[in-house]
Amino acid sequence: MNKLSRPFMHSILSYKYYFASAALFVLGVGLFSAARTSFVPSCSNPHVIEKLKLILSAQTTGQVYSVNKVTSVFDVNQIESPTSSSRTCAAGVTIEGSELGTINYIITIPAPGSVEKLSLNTSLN
Amino acid sequence: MDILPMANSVQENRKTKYFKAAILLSGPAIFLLGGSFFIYSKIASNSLASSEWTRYSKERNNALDSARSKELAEQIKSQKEADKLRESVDRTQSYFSDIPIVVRSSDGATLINFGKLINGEPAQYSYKVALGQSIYDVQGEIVARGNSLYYSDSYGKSSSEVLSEGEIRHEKDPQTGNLRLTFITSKNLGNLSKLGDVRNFDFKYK
Repeated sequence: MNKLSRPFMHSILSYKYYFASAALFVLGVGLFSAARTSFVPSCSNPHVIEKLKLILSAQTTGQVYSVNKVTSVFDVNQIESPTSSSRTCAAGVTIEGSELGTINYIITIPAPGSVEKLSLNTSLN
Repeated sequence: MDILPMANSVQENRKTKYFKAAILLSGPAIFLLGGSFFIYSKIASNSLASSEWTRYSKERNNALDSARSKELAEQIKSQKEADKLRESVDRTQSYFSDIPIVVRSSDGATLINFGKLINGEPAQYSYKVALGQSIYDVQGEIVARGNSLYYSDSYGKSSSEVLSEGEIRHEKDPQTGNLRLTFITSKNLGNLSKLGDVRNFDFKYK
């Protein structure tokens, strides 16, 4: 280290705790921001995937019902930036061994008072 | 009270020290708060997904069970109805198919093709009736409409036109081989019988 840079390094080092604190501050704010959207479960949350399978595997309309067996859900992706109340995802679905295609699903936290704690709207892509 | 210049300087140094400490601590504090909030939101979202999945799974299973029960009930109901209908058809078929093409009654009446009524074909009958000095030759036809049998014949003045119509009650006794037909007049254009007249014929079919 030459003589010129010594005072500069000294001054940087004397502020190292301030830099560390500032870095932690920025990280903390980032975590706050991330937490805001984390209340909506992730696309690959096992419970969400199970509900998705159940929704796709049975339809009850009036007295008619049908049961298909969803054998696998794969390539789960988030396709849009989440908001504080919803998250849009897409996943490939296989029903009874044959590929059904890609399903888009939106995980939404309904308004308070709703029977559903979490709604899952699906559409075939 | 006046503050000594030295004491003032000490106070300023303390203020600066607190300010620096606050700045140094704010970073870790915000990081800790943000981290805790992030972890809490992750746990909360997982718990939300778990409870929703449980609720939905229960409701779905109930709905499926209900739909299955309804369908099963419908199946049983329709099966029972089908069984009942088949039993009725079997009974009717056995009832009619037992009767030979031509049977005669104890008083000389003839009944033809009674067993074909089940196929929608008419049956014929004939008998002679003595009224006063005259003997009338009555010709008639029996048809089935639904579960009822109806007749029309020439019981009356003339032998060429339909003068008497009505319903037939029938009773079969497999033990004695006897078929009783009871003709109940509901329409009479002649003057030999009246509305509500009842004529019985006993045919031996065995």
